[in-house]
Amino acid sequence: MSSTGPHRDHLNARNCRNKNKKTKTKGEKMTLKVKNRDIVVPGELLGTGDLLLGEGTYKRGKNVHSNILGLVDSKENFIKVIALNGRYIPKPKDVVIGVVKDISFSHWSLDLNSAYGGVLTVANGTDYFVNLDDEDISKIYGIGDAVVAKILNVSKAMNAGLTMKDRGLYKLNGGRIITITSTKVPRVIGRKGTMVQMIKDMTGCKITVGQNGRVWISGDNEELAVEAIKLIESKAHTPGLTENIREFLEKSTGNKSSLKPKPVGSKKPEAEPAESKEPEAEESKEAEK
Amino acid sequence: MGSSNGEALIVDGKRLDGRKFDELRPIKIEAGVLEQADGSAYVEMGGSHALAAVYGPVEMHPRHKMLPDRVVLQTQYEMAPFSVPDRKRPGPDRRSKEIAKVTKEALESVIYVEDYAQSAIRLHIEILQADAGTRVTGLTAASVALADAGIKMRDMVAACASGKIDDTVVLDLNGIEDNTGQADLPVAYSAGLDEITLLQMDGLMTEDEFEKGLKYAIDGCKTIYELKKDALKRRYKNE
Repeated sequence: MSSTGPHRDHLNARNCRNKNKKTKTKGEKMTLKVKNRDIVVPGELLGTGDLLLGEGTYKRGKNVHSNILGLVDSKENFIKVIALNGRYIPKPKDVVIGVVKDISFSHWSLDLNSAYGGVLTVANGTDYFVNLDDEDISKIYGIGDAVVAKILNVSKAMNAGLTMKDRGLYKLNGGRIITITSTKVPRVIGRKGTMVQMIKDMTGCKITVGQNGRVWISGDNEELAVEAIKLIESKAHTPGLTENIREFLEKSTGNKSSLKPKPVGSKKPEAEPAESKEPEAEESKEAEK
Repeated sequence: MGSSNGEALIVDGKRLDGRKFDELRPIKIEAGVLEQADGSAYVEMGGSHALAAVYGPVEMHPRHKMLPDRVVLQTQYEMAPFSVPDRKRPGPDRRSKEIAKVTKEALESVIYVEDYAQSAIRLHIEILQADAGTRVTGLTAASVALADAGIKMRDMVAACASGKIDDTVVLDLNGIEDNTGQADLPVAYSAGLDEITLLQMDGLMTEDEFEKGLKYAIDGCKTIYELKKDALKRRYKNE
């Protein structure tokens, strides 16, 4: 899915679509009223003219406005607003952590930390054949069990159809689950997963981040990983986040980070003794920007 | 309250608290004051203090009240028992329900209600101290709390009231003015969209007085609107 969601402003939707087509000629006058990383509030004027609209923006006449409290992210004539807060809304292809809340004859109902629930059918839930007539599917996943699942589709009724037939989708055993604001998940994952990898390396924990804001952590140093993730959540909108977290972890563990980029003024980052490398797949490719 | 026996509310062209006719009471707005809520705000307009909390979007309960194509904004307006000189009996009453209803409608007109279809957004407004204009104070707080919760909105709604005292139109009545004045005109207005989303009137005003009162109120809302913007930005800046 492109980040440009469906345009829902009834008053202007048709208008501006036509306008966009007509003014496709490049180099139209367009002015930005805000800078990158500016905090904007709903209704705030972002710019005028021929801009490409991303999420968190809408068009009112010729002007582009924000429709959410967030940070401006613009590149050339593309503009979007990254939300600072908000609950999770299911979206196809998201990897989420669900908790079984009900079991029916042939499917599980999962709580996705959202206003909308998810459904995992037996066909999508296991790799092997299940004879529903003489097998009790609560033996596979019982109430309260947590699973990593992927959203296949989201129905008109906003119910998420889930699957577990993919790499890195499994039932969670042991460890703990913490919940963070879903809009901060991309910060926790970091660019190409660097942030979560750093926490994994330095705490020796297994970590799985669901797009719905649930984070599963398992290992000897869980407390520290939890602290680091909470720190990311509270400082998500500040610049130099990775460095701050690295410093925090280095101070807490007394180790130097083994990750390559920019050694923090220190001599040489000594390699850690073979950190437990998890077989699990990387949670998310769509670590934003 | 003091001057219900015909004492003047305007002396030497000034109001009892020294304000000009078109002057708001001192306003304080703070966003994100509650830890547990998804979004929250605390607003003081003079002696009226309101706290608003937003939870959601969450699953709609009771399920049969769910709407297929839009969100339900479950609004609760409540005055704390200690918010008024005589203890207010806690719990919903006619007035609270009415205010919750008009607040809900004033805010729904700017929320992207279709984007959260089949769910609910829970909004709680608690009046901690009342000194006239609690519905507009609560509404202002609610709008900040909604923005703070990351709810998609076309614009923010600010609200304030104007009224008539001693045959003069004035902005933002305080307690004495409200109790002994002649009219009260609460207005909610979204400055960016130039839309009025709430307009009520209690008392009698001529057409000219109404126009003047509305103009005062809209100007007041524009001032509050800017304060709200600052409050929301401040929340993330001074960390």
